[in-house]
Amino acid sequence: MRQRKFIYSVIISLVLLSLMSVPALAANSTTAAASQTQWWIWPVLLFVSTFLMGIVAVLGGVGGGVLFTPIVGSFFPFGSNFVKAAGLLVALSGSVAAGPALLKKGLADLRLAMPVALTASIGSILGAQIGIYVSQLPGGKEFMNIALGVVVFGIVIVMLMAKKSDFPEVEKADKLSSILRITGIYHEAAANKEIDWQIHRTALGLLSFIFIGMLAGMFGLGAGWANVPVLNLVMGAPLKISVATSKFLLSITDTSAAWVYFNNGAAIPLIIVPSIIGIMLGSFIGVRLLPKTKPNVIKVVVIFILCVSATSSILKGLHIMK
Amino acid sequence: MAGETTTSKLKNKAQGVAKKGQEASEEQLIYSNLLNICMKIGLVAIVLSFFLYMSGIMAPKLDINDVVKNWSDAPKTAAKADAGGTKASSAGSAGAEKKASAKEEKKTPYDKLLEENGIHHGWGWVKLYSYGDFLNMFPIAFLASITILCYIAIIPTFLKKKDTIYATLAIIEVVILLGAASGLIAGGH
Repeated sequence: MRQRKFIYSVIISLVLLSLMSVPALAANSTTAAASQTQWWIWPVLLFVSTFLMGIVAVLGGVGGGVLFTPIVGSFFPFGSNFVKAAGLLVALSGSVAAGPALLKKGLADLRLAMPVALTASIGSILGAQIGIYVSQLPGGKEFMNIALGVVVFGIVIVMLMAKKSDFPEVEKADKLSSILRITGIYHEAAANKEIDWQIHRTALGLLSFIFIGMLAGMFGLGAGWANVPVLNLVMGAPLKISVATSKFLLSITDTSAAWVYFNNGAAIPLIIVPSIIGIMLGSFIGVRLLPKTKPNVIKVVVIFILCVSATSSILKGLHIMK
Repeated sequence: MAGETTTSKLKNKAQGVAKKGQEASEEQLIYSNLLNICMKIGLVAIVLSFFLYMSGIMAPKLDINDVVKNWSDAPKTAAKADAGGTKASSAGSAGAEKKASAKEEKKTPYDKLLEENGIHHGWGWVKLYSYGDFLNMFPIAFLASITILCYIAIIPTFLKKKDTIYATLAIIEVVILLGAASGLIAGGH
């Protein structure tokens, strides 16, 4: 049974990777006829790719942003800053779409999100500026490609190793969270009871979010893969609160970094708009497919795709791959 | 159970916080309602503006084929870079020539395309609203501004509740986001 699941995962991954490599093949086409019709292929390919990413992201429990930048950066011929700008806007759009429902249900907590978002915003602006500055230096683009590959491998490790705690034990709220009154109650449907939660290690959490914001801004990644472990394991927020607040948080963190790229001329509508529409439609379908799929199979697919994208990014940086 | 609920209510009252739990706080509801409305407006606007662009109903400022040719990181040609170098050398300074050449090298092919068409970074796209491609920048900018609007909307609620800390956090966040959007903090050209 496990073997069959593994085989299915590999087959699905290969199909998805093949579809996503079509742009790389199209870019290598040198015929005049191909270059004449090529321009409209790109928004179509981008839409299809991001639509698939949107489905896989929901099923795999990851944000669209963490898939978008490595995959599009590796398999499409776009400049790195354009990909990062689009990646941030894609993550932002997903967050903005999910935010209202999560806030209304009380799963995303504004009092928890606001202080954390402030430090993450500062980090993401710094990260975006560093990302743009480094990419302009001689060898900077190559360095950023290699660094992106390394970071994505790091994300894979976090996804594999990070434990999750549904209800972390927080004996006593720390002084900072008491001053900020970061506490709440939510209804846990599975246990059918009210969960009273509080957090600790708030200062450490806030500092961590500066670093998370920097990574998000520098590489144009969504930060959900890091937000959830910090909120859940470091600060002690229940898992559902952490996941929902993290999703909502992206709309604030990515806004600040997106504007840095925007103001530096890195926004191309031909790249951004099909990506946003594709990811959102894909997420919509993914949510409907979620009850019918086995999350572990999809998670293997996501990890496999991320590993391939990371490798491709590193090879690109080393000029081994175009 | 009744004792627990009473304790929670008293705790909330003492802290001056609106009733939490399944019910979201007042500021949370305001934020979520505004976010919902703005998100829908933004998405519809993005789809419409992109349709106008792709269909050719509104002519683009930049030829789509030129955009496609210049959206990679690879340098276009040396011609434009030479033009920059020639201009600097006429000023008679080797240092200025080096600086101009270095500045030229930092520009992506797309930067040079924008320059050739007289388009500046930052908010230079605003005056190009009548062109299909740059019309798309408006809903994209709107999506990127929704957070700012939502934060501004909840500041009065925090002030009304005398929640000075969160009112201050919201104001600082708005200042940072406005600074990034305006290009002041981001260092846009």
